[in-house]
Amino acid sequence: MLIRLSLLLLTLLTPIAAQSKSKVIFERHIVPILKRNCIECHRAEYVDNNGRKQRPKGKVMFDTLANIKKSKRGRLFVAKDTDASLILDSITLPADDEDRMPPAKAGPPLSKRDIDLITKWIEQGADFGSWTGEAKTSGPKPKPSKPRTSSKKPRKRSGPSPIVTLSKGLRPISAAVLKSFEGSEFQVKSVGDGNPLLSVTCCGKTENVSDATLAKLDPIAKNIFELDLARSQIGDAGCLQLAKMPRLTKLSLRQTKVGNSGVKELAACKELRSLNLFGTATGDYALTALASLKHLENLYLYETETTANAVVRLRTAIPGLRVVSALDLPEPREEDATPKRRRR
Amino acid sequence: MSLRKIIRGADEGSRRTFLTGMAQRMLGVGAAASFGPSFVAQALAQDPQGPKKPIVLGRATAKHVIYLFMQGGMSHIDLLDPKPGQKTQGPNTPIATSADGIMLGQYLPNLAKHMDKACVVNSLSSTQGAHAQAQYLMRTSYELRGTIQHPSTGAWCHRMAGRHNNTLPGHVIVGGGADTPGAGFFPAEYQPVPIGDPDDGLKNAARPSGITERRFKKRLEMLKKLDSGFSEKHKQLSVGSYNQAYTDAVKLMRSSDLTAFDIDQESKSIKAAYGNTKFGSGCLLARRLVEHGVRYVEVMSGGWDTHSENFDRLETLVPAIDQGLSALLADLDARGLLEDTMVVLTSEFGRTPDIDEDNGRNHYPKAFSALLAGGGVKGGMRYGKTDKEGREVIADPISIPDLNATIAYACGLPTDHVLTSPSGRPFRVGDKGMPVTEILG
Repeated sequence: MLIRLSLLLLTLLTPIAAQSKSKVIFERHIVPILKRNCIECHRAEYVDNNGRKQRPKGKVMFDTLANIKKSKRGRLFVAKDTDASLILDSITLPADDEDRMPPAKAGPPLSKRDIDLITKWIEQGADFGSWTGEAKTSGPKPKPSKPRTSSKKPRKRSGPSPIVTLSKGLRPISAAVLKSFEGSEFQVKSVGDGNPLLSVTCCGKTENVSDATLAKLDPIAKNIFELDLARSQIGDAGCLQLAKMPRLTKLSLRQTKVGNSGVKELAACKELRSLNLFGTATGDYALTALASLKHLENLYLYETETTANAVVRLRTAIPGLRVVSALDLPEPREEDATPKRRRR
Repeated sequence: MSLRKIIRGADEGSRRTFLTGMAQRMLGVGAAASFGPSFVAQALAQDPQGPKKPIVLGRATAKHVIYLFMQGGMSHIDLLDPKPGQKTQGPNTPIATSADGIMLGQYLPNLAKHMDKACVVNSLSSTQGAHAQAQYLMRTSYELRGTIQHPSTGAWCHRMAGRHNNTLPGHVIVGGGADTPGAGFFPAEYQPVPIGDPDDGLKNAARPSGITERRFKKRLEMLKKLDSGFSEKHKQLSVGSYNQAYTDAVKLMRSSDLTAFDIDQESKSIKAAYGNTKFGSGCLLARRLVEHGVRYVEVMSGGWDTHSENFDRLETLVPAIDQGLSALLADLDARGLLEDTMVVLTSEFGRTPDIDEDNGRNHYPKAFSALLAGGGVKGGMRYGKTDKEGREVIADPISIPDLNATIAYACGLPTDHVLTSPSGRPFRVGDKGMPVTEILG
C-alpha cells in the first residue's frame, strides 16, 4: 500500500517537478540546435547562387512552423510521445548507420545535451510557443559552400548567376509551342528545374539547319539562354536571327560558315558569356564589334582569321575575358608506339 | 572469369569477345541470355519502361562526360597524391604544377601544365579490394550481386537525360567493354556501344559490298514483314528494344555522323600529340564522339595492376596517360568543348603506400585519388586529403557513390530520383551518394 502510494505520488509529481525546474523553450533552446545542424539541408526549396534549385533533403524542413508540420505528416515532433517523434529516431542512431542525422559527412552527431533538450521539450508537450519561423526569423540563408582547399580564385565575376537574373519575370513558353519542336531540327529544353530559360541544340540535325531554318526559333527567341549551332550550315545571314535573342548567354558557332559580317551582329546579344567561333572565318574586324560585350567570359578563336594584336585589344576592352586562340598540344614523344623493353 | 582475361580484355578485346560485345551492345542481345531463362521471364513480365513520375532535370554544367578508367588499380602516390620526402614515395620525385600547392608524380609533366583547369580529389575510398568487385562498384555505385546487374553511370545518364545526337549512341566504351555492367537492368537500347580498338573505329558499319541501297532497303522491309507478326503478338519491352536497336543501327549507317568514329580523319600531328598509343587514340576518339554529341564516353586502359616492379612499369604506363590526357584537355579547350565536358581520370582503387620486396605496390581501396576537369569543375583545386604517408583519408572523404553522384549532378540528373528494376526494386544514380558540390563552380 505504501509502495503504491509513493508510486502514485511519484507519477503525479515528476512532470510538475520537471516543468517547474526547467521548461525548454523552443525558440530559445531548440531553434539554435536546428539552425546549427539541420536547416542547411532541410529548408524550403530555394535557388542557390549558381542558379541551381535546391530541394529540401528527404522532403523534411525545419525552417518554419508550417513546414515542420508538413514534413513527415507532422510526425517529426509528437507532443509527449518520444517513441512516435521521428526526429529522435534519426538523431539517436549509431554513428555508422547511414540514416543517422546529420549524416557523417555533413557534420558531427548531436551532443547528448542537445538530444536531451529535444527529448525533454517533446516530453513537455512540444510547445512551439509564439515561434512561426516566418519572415523575421526565417532560417539563415545557407552560405554558398566555400571550397575548403582552393589554390586559385575562380575567375568568374561575382553576383548572382545570369540564370537567376535573366529568368526573373520571364514568361515560360507554352507547352504547345515547345511541343511543336518535337521531331524538328532543334532540341529545345529547359535549362533545368523547369526554368523558363531554354537550352537549344541542333546536334544530329546539323545538315538541315541553315539560315532560313533559324526563323523557326522566333517564337522562343526571348527565352533562349544557350544555343548550340556547331557544325550547322548557317552563315552570316543567320546571325541576324541570333541578334534577336536578348537572353542568349552561350552560343556555339563552331565550324560554321559565319564570318565578320555575321559575328558583328552578335554585339546585340549583350548577355553573352561564352562565344565559340572555333573554325570560322571570323577576323579582327568582328572582334572590334564584340568589345561591347561586357559580360563575355570565354571566347574561342582557334582556327579563325583573327590576329594576336586584335585579341590583346579585346582583352583590354573586356577585363577578365579568357580568349583561347591557340592549341597547346604536348610535344610528341620520341619512343611512341614501341613500348620500352627493359632488358639487361 | 579469370583476372588475366579481364585485363587482357580491357587492353584489346579478342576477336570473339569483341564480336560478342558488338552483338550484345548493338543488337541488345546477351544481357538477358547471360542471366538465364528466369531473368528473361522476369523482364518480359514487368514493364519498367517509363519512369513512374517525370524526371525533372536540373541545371547541367556538363553536357558530356569522358570517363578515363585505369583498370587494375592506379597508384595514387605515384600519380595524383605524391608524398615528397616520405618513405612511401619511393624512388620518384614529384613535380610542381601550374596550380599553387598541387604536386603530381614525376611522369606527368604535361598534365602539370593543365592543373589550373583540373581538380584533384585525394580522398576517395572504396569498400572493395578485388578487381571485379571494385570495378563494378566504380561503374555502378552498387555492390556486385549474383541476382541483379546494375546499370553503369553512363547508362543512367543516357536513360535519364537522353541523347544529344539521336543518330549516335548515347554511351560508348572504348578499349573493351564486353565485361562491363553496361545498361544493367535497363532496356537493351541503353547498352553502351563497345569499341574494342579505337584505331579501327566502328566495325561493320557499312553496307556489304555489292548490296545497293535499294537492295538493302528491300531486305530491311522484308525483315520488318517477317518480324511484324511476332512484334504484334508479343508487345513486350525487350521486343521493342531489339527493334529499336536495329533502327538505331540503320540510322547510324546512313548518317554523316558515322565519321565521328573514324580517327583517321585527324592529321598525323594531332595523332602524334595524343601519343599514338591505344589510350591516346581512345582519347582522340572520345573527343571526336563528344564533338558529334555523344553524351558519355568511357576510355579503358589496362595494365595498372603493378604488384611487382611498380616503378619500372609506371615508367611506360604513366607517360602514355600524361600525353593522351594533356592532349585531350588542350584539344577540348581549344574547341570550346571543355566547359561542357567533364573529364574524369580514375581507377578502381589505389595501391599500397608500402613498397614490397618485389618493388611492387598492392591493392589499396582505403585511400586513392581521381582527377576531374571541365564541365563545371573548378580548376586549380584540390579536394580532400590523405595523411602524410598517403595511408588514410584525413579530410573530406568521398565514397564511390559520392563520386558518381557528383558526375550525375553535374549532368543535371536528379540524384534522388528512383527508377525501379524489373523486379520492382528501387535504385538511384549514385545509390545513396551525395554530390560533392564544392568542386563544381
